[in-house]
Amino acid sequence: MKHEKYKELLELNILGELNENEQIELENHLLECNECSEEYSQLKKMYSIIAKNSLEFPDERDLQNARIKLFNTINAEQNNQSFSEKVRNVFSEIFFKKYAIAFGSLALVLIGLLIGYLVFNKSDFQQNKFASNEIDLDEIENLEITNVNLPEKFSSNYEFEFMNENGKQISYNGNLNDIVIQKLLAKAFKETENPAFKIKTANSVVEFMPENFKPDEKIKSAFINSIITDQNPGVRKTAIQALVNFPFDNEIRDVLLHTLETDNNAANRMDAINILLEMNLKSINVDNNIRTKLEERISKEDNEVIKLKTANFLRGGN
Amino acid sequence: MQDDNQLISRAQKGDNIAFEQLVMKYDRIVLNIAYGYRNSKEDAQDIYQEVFLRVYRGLKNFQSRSQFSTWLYRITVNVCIEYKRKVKNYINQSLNKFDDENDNNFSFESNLDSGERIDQYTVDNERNNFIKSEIDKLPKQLKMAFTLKYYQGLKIKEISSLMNCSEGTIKGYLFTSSKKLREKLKPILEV
Repeated sequence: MKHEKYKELLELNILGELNENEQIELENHLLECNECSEEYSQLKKMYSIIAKNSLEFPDERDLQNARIKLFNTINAEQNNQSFSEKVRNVFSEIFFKKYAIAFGSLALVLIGLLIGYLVFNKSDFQQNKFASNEIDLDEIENLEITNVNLPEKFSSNYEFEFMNENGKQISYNGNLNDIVIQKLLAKAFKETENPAFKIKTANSVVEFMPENFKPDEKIKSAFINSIITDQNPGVRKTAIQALVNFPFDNEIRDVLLHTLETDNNAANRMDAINILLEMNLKSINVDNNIRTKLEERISKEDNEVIKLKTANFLRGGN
Repeated sequence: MQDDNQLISRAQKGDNIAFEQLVMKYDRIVLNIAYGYRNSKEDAQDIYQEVFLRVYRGLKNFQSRSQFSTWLYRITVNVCIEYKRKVKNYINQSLNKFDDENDNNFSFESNLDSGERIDQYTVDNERNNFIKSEIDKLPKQLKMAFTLKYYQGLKIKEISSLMNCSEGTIKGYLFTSSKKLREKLKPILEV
């Protein structure tokens, strides 16, 4: 019975649940009891083996992905609120609230002002509302972007300001589902020399990527080019993290292999091999040319973990 | 940073930014609890979605009698325990069945002595997978108590609050988990 009590204390001690007095009592008992000492060392051994096997908990990217998916679902749920429900809500607000007449009058005045504005300022309004179907997408390359505001939360838009050919300042808002926004973003990313802007842009694409996102070639190639050519390892890293959220294809595979083979930053090489291992290996065609290059890389690699993971990749493991 | 009650009050009135702030304050822990329990990032993501959708839908009825965090983690624990993997159901079932049938015949040592050339990395990988699979085989309540204690470092008192049972019961769960794991991990412990 006494041993049973101390065996519980042994376990609780390892789990950090004993108070000071209980710990002293246990230590005194261990000094004189071989059975419990042996039990204690066995327990410690087991917990230390489990500790060595610590899990690779989700990283920031996993968390961001989870948030994006959640906020997309909630947005969709809000948008799906039925029309009749919305009408019902509006009417109940109007008819059952104390100040219904005052709010009704105010609404009428506002509607009147809006109609007046639309009628009398039609030309200006249309110039500012630079709708995507009025843009020749090829012309975006020739625009001079003067300012970019990245969204701060999921429900916000990207805002671009630029000059048109008549020197008039124009603004354009939208989210990543809008092909014009993607092309403008690619242009801004490609043309800026500011690494902080590039990093924020790539991060924003990951953070605010809508569900079923269809990336435009321009934005994809902007990220690929920066992974290959940018001098700043942070820019290359965030571009990799953005690109890996795009539908996986041979171009993305090749740029990851390129990073693994040539990037002088170990963290980027680690990202590349981790992503390659996460992908469905059946969809990755490792031909002899790639194999040879990677085998050469293994022989030169200083980082043991990257070396082992690359070897595992070539074996087809994950 | 606003306190939870202010954020909850704003979120209950339909303020999405307040809800986003609440989510971002606690979601790392939710994802970690789910991952520690399922040992799968994919499953943890599913659980995360289900937990916060339940919170989003139930927030209007939340009355701040208990702390928001306690309410949230209780939901997380419940969703974890109820969770059934949706995708690849058949594959998992057949694999589990195979594991169960061969449970008594499987030997970690025999894997080591199979005569094949196995490098250290592979050995470590095999051992890790073996330990993870044995933790995964614990009954749900035991596994939840064990992972909350071991991976999240919660106190027994906190676990008992989240799992809605007494501290004595949680101690029982932890002792039983430890006993079962010692038996199962014997081949490794003796190497």
